[in-house]
Amino acid sequence: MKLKLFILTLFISTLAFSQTKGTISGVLTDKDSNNETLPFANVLLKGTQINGITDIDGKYSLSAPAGSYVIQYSFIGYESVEIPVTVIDSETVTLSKALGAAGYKLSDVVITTHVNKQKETALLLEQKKAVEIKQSIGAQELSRKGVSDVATAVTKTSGITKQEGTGNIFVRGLGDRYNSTTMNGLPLPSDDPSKKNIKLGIFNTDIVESIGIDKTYNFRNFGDFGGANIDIVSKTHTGSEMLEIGFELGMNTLANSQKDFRLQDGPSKTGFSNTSYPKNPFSSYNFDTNWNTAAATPINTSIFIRGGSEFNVGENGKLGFFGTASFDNEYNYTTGVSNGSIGLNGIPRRNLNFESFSYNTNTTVMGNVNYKINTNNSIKFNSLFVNTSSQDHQEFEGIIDSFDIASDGGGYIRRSNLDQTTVFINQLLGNHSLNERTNFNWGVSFNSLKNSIPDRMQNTLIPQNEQSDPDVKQVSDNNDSENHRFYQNLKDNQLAANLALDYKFNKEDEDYRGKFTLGYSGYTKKVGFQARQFNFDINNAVAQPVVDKNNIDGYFNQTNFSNNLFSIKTFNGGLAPQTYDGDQNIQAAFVGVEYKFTPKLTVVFGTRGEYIIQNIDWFTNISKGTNKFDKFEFLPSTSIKYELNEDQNLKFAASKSYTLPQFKERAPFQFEDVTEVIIGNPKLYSSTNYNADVKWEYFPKSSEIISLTAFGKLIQNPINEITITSATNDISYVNSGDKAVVLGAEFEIRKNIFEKDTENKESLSTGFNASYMYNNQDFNGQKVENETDLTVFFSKTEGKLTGASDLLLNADLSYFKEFSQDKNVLATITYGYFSDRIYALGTSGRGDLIDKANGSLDFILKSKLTKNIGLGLSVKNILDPTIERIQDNQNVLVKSYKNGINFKVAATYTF
Amino acid sequence: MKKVFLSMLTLATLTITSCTSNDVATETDPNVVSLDPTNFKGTLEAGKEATLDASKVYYLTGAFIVKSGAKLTIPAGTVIKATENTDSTVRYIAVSQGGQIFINGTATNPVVMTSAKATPSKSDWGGLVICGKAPINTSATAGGTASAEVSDLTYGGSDTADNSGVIRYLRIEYTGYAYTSTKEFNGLSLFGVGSGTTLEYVHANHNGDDGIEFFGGTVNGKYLVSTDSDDDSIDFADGWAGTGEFWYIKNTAKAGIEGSNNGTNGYATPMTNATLKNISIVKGTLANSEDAIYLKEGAGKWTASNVYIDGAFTKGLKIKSDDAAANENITNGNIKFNPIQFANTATGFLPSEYTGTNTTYLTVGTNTGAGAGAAAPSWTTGWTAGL
Repeated sequence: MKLKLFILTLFISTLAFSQTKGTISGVLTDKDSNNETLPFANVLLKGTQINGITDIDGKYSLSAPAGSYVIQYSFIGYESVEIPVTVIDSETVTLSKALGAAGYKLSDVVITTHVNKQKETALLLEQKKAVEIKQSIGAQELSRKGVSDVATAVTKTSGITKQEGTGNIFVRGLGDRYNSTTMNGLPLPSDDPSKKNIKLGIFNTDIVESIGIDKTYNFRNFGDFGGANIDIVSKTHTGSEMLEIGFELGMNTLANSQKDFRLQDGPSKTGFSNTSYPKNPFSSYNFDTNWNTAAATPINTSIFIRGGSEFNVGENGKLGFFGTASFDNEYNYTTGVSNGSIGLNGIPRRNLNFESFSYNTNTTVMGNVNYKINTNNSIKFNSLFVNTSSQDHQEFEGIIDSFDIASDGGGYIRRSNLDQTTVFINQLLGNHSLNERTNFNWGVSFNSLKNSIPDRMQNTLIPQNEQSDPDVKQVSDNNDSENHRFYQNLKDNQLAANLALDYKFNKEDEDYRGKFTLGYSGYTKKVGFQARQFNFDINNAVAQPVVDKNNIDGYFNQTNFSNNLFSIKTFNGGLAPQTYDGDQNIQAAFVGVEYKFTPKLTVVFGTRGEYIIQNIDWFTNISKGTNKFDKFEFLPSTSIKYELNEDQNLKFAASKSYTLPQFKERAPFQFEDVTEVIIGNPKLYSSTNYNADVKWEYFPKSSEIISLTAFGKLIQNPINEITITSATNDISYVNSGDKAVVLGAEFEIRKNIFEKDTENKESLSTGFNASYMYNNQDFNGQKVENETDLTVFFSKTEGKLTGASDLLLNADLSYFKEFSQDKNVLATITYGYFSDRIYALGTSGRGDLIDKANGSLDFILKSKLTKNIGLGLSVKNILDPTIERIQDNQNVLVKSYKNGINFKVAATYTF
Repeated sequence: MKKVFLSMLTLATLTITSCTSNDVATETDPNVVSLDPTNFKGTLEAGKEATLDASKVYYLTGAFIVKSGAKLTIPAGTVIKATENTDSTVRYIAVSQGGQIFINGTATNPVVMTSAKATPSKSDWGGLVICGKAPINTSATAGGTASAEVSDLTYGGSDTADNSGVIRYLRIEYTGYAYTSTKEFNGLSLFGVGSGTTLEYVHANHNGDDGIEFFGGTVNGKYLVSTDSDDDSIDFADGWAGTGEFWYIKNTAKAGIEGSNNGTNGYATPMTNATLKNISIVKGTLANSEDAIYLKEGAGKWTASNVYIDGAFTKGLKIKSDDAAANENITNGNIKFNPIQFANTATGFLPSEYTGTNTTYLTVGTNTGAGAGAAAPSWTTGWTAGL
């Protein structure tokens, strides 16, 4: 009613004062939000001073002298649309338009109400405005590129790769220990006792609004930094009610071609398992899960529901709710060659063919409440629950050790494993504008994580008499652990808090030239680890029967136990687990100043003081003890932004940071991996990292960017995981040399090839990023010997960093066509490439293990059929290249397999 | 300068003394410590000496480590029994580089290290580990070091004449504890032990892994007995350069003698250089044993004489055809078995897997081996068990 009055008034005033003028009016709507009206958007008659803003209902009205104009509509995060219009004296032209993503005129942005950070254009704008060097990938881009998890998401940005097999993320050639992961700025626990970061693959993109990647250090972040801080910004809801459900069905070509798809017996298909070791494991055979496999049908499914709504609370308050729940599962099958222990003569001691069956699930539930109390105060509560399970069953056949076990072939190893992680993240965040100058934001989180490996099984069979028939097998009696069951639990609870106060100063015109920031971050975590392994010790004083590899239960059972064919033992003789308990406490204070020296030049300088305490207690069958460690770090950082012109920035950042050894890397705790023993080194110490970046950014249009970055890193006393010289080839961690140097360049372009701005839009756009790196580190066996009790026989005196590819490429091409307001199609192809990279460093004259260069191609098709129904199709890993790992120097194949092509169809219904 | 050094040394000794936790000093000489027979574990620190009391049984309740500069004397007749592992700490005795052990058994009264279990079995406890400073061939540089079973024990170096003490008349039983996926203790492990060490009259019996293993080093081993091993009976590797005389080997699950040069690089130097004289290898009753002698991983140099092999082994000498370094060593005349006797073989027995051009590396003769062919030699009388 009020508005009608307003328009009437406007109309009347037009009539009253502008007799020679005409009027253009209409309604702007949001194409991406069910054509909700778009308030506060800009309307401009190009080439004039005539402009206006849409009202709360998206309505606008402009009066202008008669004539021909081009009217331009724009809004932050939205396309800017230009339409020719003719104004006739005393007449009103009605012109309404729906605005969509990808386009706005930056210079027109006057006010912002809600910036939708899911949109590529909005994130580009944020990147442009920031003083710091920032990079983000939003939900819109992830959806366009068909990305379903956060690990894959970050690899779509420049300079980041994911290691095949482990899923570890490498940023500019720097792996796990150099990176950190946060959600909404607060730290996340780790799901792997040997890793600093949680596997990013466990986060479904359904929960993501955007992912920020800071490859330069700034004082707000924790100082244990070298490569990047990856911040997952969780989705929230604003605007009108939304409810969406979806269903996906898919298959992998290799998994699907398996007639006998088999998995470990025991684990639930839901991904929630709760297996434990038997009560009396030694006195009789009490294991209740089978060694024999269970059959499975490899059809991939996915289902989700998400919704949100927003309510007005009082006069200025708004309460937004968002919830998402999903379940995904996926089957994979690979087969190929697995060789190992390749000596200088180039002969692999382990020479096996393998088959691997895997089944993964992900259950994600997230809810958040976003309470905007008024324009100055807001509070957000975010709660995320994720359960992931990763099951795999592997069978290896061939030579287990050419000098020892099944030396002429016929050896058989099978390993079944379930790795389950449950993480529960709770965050409360607030932002308060205390006055025009002062802003206060805070966040607290409590996270708990449980990881378990319940009931890992391994069997080793060898030919009963190699010389006669390798297929007549019996259980191997070489080492007790060749046949075992293993149970592991990891708990990680953490509490974290961030507080930051910003104070603006030196007001000039409407803007403040300076901003002062004072803040605190605290982070405490407790980690507890327990592992038990039950070994089946084969009695070689008696004749062992023939065992069928497909019926292991026919051997490991109560009857054979009673007949004393085998006994059940642990490494330490009892039920006590090997354990470690760690706590880490980091308390940090930071202060920073941002100052705009000229309209073009802004400088940020900050320092952070961090006090770190790390304690670990361990108890294994070989030793027990405590290791304490504390340290104070003083970390300066700076960012400089120079605006070359309206569309171009030159940015610089430099910082000092550090890399802490992980808990268990400092504890002389023998960590049992399946085939290797990893032991900590109490004399390991932290590395110091220096980083500098220069970046030129050019934003030709709101949805376009061209940027070029040059960066350099110096890491003093870098830490490497390496095989130490020992009687048993143990792996440990050492400060392996004096320094590592990384110098590189990154290039990024996003460009619209053509864009038709007709009633029904059509566009073709492309993105490309590339990074090229020089990287080198020295290896110094003498340094290791001087500083520790360990010795290392480095194969080389210098070499590349583990995980660093010289060249990384990402390219994508997207075609969008609109048929009508609710009917459109979006097709995208993406391509990613990495050049050769080191998987593990070589020792004792053996070459490095190298993952060979690889490229992957995906195709994603999404279509909106009606206002409610959407359909999708994706084909991933189209080229299906052979994945190869070789041992350098000797140039011998270590691993070779294919992953298969993944097909998926999806349907969504929006209410 | 000298004074400064001396006072530093004193200070260092004091520091170390104050760190000592498990030994109790007597009033007379602060460097002589007595050890608790009921709870035998801990460390014997630098500068300390301890002598066990032969009238008592020592119950090994954890790891006992003789550190560099410390001396442990075990008189004749002393019995050490490793208690059952119920508290997750493996029982073993280790001598660090620079430490010394004096096992002074006699032919009628040996020192015995065994399991305390009522019904003892293989792998009940760790074993005896000795680390010296003699050369190995696994290190990055000549004279370099490596880490032994337990990672804080270093071994290897350039002191060929290094002296880790005396081991005479020792019987060590029920060893071979498997404490990780890849690690099992041997009965007696000799890591880079130097030629100044005396190693004579040792019987490793009921071994969960190897009976006796040499990892590099230069120590000679005379009058060694290894019986009932789940792996090899006597094993040498990583550049062991020494003489083995009078070895009596019986009941082995894998090879009677396994000798290798280097698992990664068959050509690594210093190359294993074994002189073996008067050796008996008797197959016995254990299942699966196939090979009397395994020339493995480059094999190194072998000069073997008076070798007596008895029983239904599949092969006399095992040598992998793809082990180029080992085959070259035979072809080049670095490996000789002159003479060797194969007695009581089964049908299909293959004396040697070597198929190269050298036809004189092996001469068959009639031998006495360790003294009496397949039978226990007379020098085993009085101190061994179960032969």
